Amino acid sequence: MTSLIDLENRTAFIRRHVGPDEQQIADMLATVSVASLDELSNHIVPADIQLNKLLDLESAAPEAEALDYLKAVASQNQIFKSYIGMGYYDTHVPNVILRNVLENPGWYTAYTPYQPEIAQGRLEALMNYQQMVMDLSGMEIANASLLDEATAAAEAMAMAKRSVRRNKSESFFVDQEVHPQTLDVLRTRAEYYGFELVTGSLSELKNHDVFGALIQYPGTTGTIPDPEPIIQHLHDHNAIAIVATDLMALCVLKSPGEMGADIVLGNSQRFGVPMGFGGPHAAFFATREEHKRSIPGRLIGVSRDASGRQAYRMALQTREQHIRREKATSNICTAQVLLANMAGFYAVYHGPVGLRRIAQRIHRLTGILAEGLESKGVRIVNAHFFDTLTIDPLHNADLILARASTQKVNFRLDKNGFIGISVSETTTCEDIDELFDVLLGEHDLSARTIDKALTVQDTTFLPENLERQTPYLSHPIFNSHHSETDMLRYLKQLENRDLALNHSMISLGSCTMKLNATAQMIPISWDQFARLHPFAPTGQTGGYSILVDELQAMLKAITGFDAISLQPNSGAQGEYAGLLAIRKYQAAQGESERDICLIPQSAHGTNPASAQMAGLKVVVVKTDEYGNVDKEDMTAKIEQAGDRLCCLMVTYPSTHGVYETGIREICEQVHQQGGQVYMDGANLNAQVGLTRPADIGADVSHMNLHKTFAVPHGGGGPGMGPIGVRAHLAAYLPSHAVSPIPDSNPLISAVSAAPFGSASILPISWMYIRLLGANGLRQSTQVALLNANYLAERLKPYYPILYTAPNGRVAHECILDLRPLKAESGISEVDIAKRLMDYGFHAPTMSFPVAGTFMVEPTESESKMELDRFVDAMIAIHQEIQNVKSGAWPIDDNPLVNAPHTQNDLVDVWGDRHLFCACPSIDSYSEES
Amino acid sequence: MEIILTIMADDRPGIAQRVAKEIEQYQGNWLESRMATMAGKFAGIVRVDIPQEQMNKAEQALLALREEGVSIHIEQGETKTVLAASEHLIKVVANDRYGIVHEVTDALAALAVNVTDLHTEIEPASMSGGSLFRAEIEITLTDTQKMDDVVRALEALSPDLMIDF
Repeated sequence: MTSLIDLENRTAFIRRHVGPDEQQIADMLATVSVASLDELSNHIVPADIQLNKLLDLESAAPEAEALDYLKAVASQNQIFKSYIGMGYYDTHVPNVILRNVLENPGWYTAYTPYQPEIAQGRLEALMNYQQMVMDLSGMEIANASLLDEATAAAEAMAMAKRSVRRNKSESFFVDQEVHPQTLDVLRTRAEYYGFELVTGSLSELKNHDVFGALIQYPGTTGTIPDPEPIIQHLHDHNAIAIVATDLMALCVLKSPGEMGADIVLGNSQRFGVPMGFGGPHAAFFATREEHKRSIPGRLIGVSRDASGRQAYRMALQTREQHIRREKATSNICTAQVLLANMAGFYAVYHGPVGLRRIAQRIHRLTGILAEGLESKGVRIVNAHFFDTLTIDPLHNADLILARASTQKVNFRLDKNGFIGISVSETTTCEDIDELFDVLLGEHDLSARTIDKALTVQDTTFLPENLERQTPYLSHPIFNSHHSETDMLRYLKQLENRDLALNHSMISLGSCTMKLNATAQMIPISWDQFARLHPFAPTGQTGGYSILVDELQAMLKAITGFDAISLQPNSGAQGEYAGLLAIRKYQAAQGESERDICLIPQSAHGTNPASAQMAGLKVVVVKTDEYGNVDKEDMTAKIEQAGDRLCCLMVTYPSTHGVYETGIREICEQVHQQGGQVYMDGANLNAQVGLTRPADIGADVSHMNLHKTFAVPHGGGGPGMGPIGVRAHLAAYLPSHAVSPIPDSNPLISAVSAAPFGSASILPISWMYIRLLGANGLRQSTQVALLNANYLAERLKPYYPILYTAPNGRVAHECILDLRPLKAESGISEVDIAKRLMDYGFHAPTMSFPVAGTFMVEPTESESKMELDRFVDAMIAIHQEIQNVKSGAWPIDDNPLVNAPHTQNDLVDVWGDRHLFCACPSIDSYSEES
Repeated sequence: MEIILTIMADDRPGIAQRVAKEIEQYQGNWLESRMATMAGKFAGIVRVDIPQEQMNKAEQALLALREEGVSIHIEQGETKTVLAASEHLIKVVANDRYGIVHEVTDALAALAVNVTDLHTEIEPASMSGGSLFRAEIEITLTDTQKMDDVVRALEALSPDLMIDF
């Protein structure tokens, strides 16, 4: 009789996550001529680095049990009303957006829109976002989001320096009203750029010779400076004026663009994106037309399809292609597309009238609070305000804080005994009465009564010359979807234009587009995770503490490292944080002169950019004819670097999708020369449960949660790149100026605005690891290897596999060489990619890391049926190419060059010549059709 | 005296070696060269210093290579006296489009910039696909010509065109 244990089926999730069932696995093993998954992974993973034991993790848990446990963890987070402000505000996520975007795999499982034909939906959504930012900031061009406000400010500082070539100053001025977390990140970034940061009040700016300045408008304490004279002063001195601001405030305040600002940035979180204990949120970044070439991040532009109709695509892609290895200034790549889309939809949903009403309500409630407090003799430090008051509690502070705690109210407390109060969209009139209770104790005030007086007097508390006079969001897109029916259909209409994982396999090599299971996604919308302010007192964030501790322990077990930082918000940020840890460690050993970073030719483009940002000189190591690191050249370069060798940055398995032998020796060589090893974790999905970066010899490595650990790609973000380090580097992991990280070195400044990066998506990776357990993780990796080798085996009669190990095996991905076919037939990789759309597939990664190829990574989540469907499509396309080769089909008119037939074909030339990054007018649609 | 050879042949191994042998035979000195294989053809340019008295015989021998399928055109070199000039290398990347080489060279010619070397290639763009145009251009600028103006003129061609110098 079957035992109860069997009937409980506690490992059920493994079968849900891993695509192929037992029979399919057996069939595929037969195709690749091995008897078992273990035999296959023994063939692939070099013997000297094999783990040979199960990871030290619990075994798989059922979905219901894991969710129950996480719910109990979440309940240890306490939701207080947040009046902390500092760039993060509670918001009402419109329910139609919550359910149909944030919780909808049609939006969250898509990839970065490199293939515009199957991404028009989110490209339009991002265009709305750009238009919203341009309108509210008053600027001419806006990008489609950065990681957070603090890193956006750091990008702006770097951009300012390269935009004023004639200004030789190395100093950058930071307004003392800038949010402290922004200043913290600026400090980190300025150090290795060699910039001197000068902080002070705006009136002190004139005493300094600077290349740029960052002004916060409104300021972090709520005050509203007039930026215009400051901007004028900066321009008179050939310096760049950067304004950090708040989109909600700009609904009623004069825009920085009207005042001449060069760069405007900030956090779009309060436009309908949960605070999530720090993220993910989209930072906005806008500038003037003249600086369009220097704008960091991704930009959506208007182009035309083959029939001349308007279509969207990512513009200025050449900036990413441009080899600026030695001149790289920004390593920005993953953006926050899902969150930018939500913020853009918030503006579509509310429209200009609705947004203005929300902003005015926030301002009115703040005004009522200010009037009431002043009538009771409370001193308000800032004369003008939009939504934030800084008050002097005198000797009542303890009393007030005790009452605040009882009423579950959080204030800002980091300003020398002052109390900061920021009102949000969720604040009600009753909340203001409650604030009177908390702040005053006994009183006779009534918010409604004060409001009546204010209404009669028509008072605002903005400086008169800074009230907004110019219109915004007048484009029809912001004025036509205000019923829920219309909004619902608009969202669905856009979603239908895109291809996401809920449609078919997205076999993008190096991107690991695996299942993002529903159970993993559910906790992110729980209030206990979503509604926490990143700087909430630690006493209220017990749930997050447990989550962070447990996830760190899991990641340590998986990687073999001794300490983990969850702060970096993308893989590239992880690279940067890891390199900083190495540099600071070496500096502490008296070895600051170590400044050479070795990087193999085949590295990810972000590696050299991150090294550059950490003040390192990049030396490229050659690749041999088999695609491996050229060991002779490596030895020579290590010796040449000598005492200046800082580190090696190496991706493992290689970006060519091969488990190279001799990696351990390479790491030893680097260590012998006094260098450190940074292992790029982009391909960690091939390692989990089979080997570990720390065992191989890495000192530090990042883990892309959005690749290996199931965080969805969101159409181009969110992502996270936590880093793991060995014990000697632990003291050099980033801390945080506002909310220091437990056990961290407080002298180390931050790399992200929030202490734990995008904390609210950590439950996804926790759930992923918990649901699979040690066994399931190992099996997932083994099936990822099997799927890739099965694809390679079936495709190689038609498309040569460019690189394999000497035994013919690939790791978790393989490169199909399309160059011979192109030479014979004239059919290019782009033709094949577009033809794949006709067959219902997203193309694999094109021309990376080798031009003229496809890199295919099926992941463990795809079944044999789906792999076969893909292989059959590729074989059918191969046959079609033969028809072109033989002359049966004309070279310039055949189903390949005419593809896609199911979508509108985008031609790039129009968009290359005309950079147009705003919502096109309605007229322009009709004129072309 | 200096001569410039332009060589054209169906590509096969040993062409450069064959030409070098003739030059050596007449005490010529191979100064510099550029060679490439395109669409199955070998094309080369060679600058050679050759003793005046050997010139005629060398010329005949080189032209006779035509019988082996290697056609050579010979021009006498000139030593130009150039005004004080500085040399610069510009790298251009853009999405490829019809006529882009013409656009780039036109923009430089309009500023009377002297191009001393021009390498171009087309390669598939990573991730987004499509064709990427890359050029490495060596130019000389006189005292009155400014690099900023050159960059501005090239950048004006299209927003996607990126320049490193």
